[in-house]
Amino acid sequence: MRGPKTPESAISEGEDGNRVGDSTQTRPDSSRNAHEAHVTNDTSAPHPIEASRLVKTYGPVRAVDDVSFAVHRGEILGLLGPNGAGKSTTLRMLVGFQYPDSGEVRLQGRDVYRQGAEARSRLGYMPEALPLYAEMTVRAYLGYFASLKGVAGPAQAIDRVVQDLSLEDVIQRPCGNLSRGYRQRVGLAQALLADPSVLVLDEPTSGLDPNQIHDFRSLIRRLGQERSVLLSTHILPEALEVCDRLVILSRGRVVAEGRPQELAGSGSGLHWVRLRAASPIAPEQCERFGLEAEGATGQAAERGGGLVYCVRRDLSADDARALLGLVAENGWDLLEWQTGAAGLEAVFRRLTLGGE
Amino acid sequence: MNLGRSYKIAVREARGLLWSTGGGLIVGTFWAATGLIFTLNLFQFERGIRLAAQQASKLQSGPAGVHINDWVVSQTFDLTGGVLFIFFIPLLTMRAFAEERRTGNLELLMSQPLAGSELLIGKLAGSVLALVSCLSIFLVYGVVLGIVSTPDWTATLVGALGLVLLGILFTSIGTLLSVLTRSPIEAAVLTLGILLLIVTGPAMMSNGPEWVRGMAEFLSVEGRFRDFSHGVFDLSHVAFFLGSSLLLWAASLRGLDIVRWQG
Repeated sequence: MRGPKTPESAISEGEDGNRVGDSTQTRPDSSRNAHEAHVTNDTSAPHPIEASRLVKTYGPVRAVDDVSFAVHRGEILGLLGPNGAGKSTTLRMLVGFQYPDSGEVRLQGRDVYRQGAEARSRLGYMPEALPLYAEMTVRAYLGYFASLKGVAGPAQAIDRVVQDLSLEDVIQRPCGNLSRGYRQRVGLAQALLADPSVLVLDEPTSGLDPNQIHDFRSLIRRLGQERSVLLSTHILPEALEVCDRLVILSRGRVVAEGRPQELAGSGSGLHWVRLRAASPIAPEQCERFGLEAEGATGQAAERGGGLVYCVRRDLSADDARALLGLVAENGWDLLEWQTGAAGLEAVFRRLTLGGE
Repeated sequence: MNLGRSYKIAVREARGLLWSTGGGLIVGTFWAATGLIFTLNLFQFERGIRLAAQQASKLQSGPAGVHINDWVVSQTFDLTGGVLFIFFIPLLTMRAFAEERRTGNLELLMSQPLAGSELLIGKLAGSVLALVSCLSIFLVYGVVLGIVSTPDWTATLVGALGLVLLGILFTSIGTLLSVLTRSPIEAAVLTLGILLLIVTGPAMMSNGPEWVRGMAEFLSVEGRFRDFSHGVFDLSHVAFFLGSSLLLWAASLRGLDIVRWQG
């Protein structure tokens, strides 16, 4: 399934030579549907994770502001937001590392602050910082955390995660000598040691190369077939590819929640267009279509021998057709054309940039 | 409370402290310093015996009392506890929480199914274990003492107990400050300052009014430790050291709560 549903004729090569929208491939429908069959929203059973009205302030800054959401059994929920939106703070409160100023977190129905150790016993957490003890070998590190988690049969648990995450080659290596990709896998192995029913991953693919990102996303999808997963990310293709449902955070608040397809369709009239013209576009045309010179100075930026303009607003069907006509008539390069139905990115930007 | 988890944390903590390059350097320096103090005291003792023998032959009387416990054991304990510990223990405790917080490991540890008390006991026990391992060099000094003279073993053991109790108290102070700070260096400097104040403070208050002197005497860690190092076993001193340490542990536990508030 492709994200942007644009007129085929209007799709052009992006500036980097890739077809616009190619990066927004999502989980194949058949696999998603099969997966959704095991996502349950049973109201009688407690949710694996339930956050109610969380508030966290740092001095005058309200980092998390009245955030509520729940992770359903067997689903992969993405906490999506730009950097500084409050994702990591929210996750830290969910796993019990940080107290909220107000609000409540329940893991499998248990209060994470009052029944801390018990509530966290079925939780696996991989923080963004990926802390490892540099002097310990991978086996010793996993053994240490297996004992802290109270895993029965730690040797078998270690063998299982080592096999699942293909860590055989590095098992005797000191953690300090591992590449970023292996560090990420060791961090995930630690989270999986107790075979948790809930997995919380903070920016799990941050710092990985494209191949590693692909592998890691496949891994998360596989893990999500057996357990509930909450992951935070600011990468839209990741959210689309991996998550069953998204919660979008901006400036500490939940600004949208729903399935990726629903969210992408929420701004049906919205257009997200970028084009390149050889010479400045007439002001009356700019005003009619909301064409804005790209760049903070208000001057159209010169790129690739032309001036780049963009449109970020609702356009009627007639205006959209007229704009496409102008593009063809004047020989402008169409760099990007997304409509609301396809543009999760556009929706994301609209929600997180304060109405831009 | 699951002390098995605390034990695992303690062992990792002690290993991390002792079997790292930095840790090895610190332990090596500590051993070298105590070795130097012990050897110099032995020379002093030997010189004292010679002088006493010369004096006795001049006066044609029996030799004056020169005992190895006064000349070597007490001196070595006093200098180790009253001087070396002030510089050594901040280096031992600075990493306990501040380093874990800096690297992000504390976030991971505190999201495990661990009670705060289990984590704290593990960390404290790890630092004390490392300290006791460092003090194991004193066994070698004990053997040397046994070869060169006949020490009062009971007084020597009381002195060693005092050293361990003082170490536990100082380690508890360092751990509390490590909980409350984000940088190991900051934790070490603060601990050093406070230990200096604790050791020298009562002496500075000795010229004050009666009630101040009374308070200084009660709070004098060094005075109580000196009793131990001179072979005097006083249960109230044991209670003082352990009671103060317990208070500091409780404060550290509250400090972990502060960490959870601050994030």
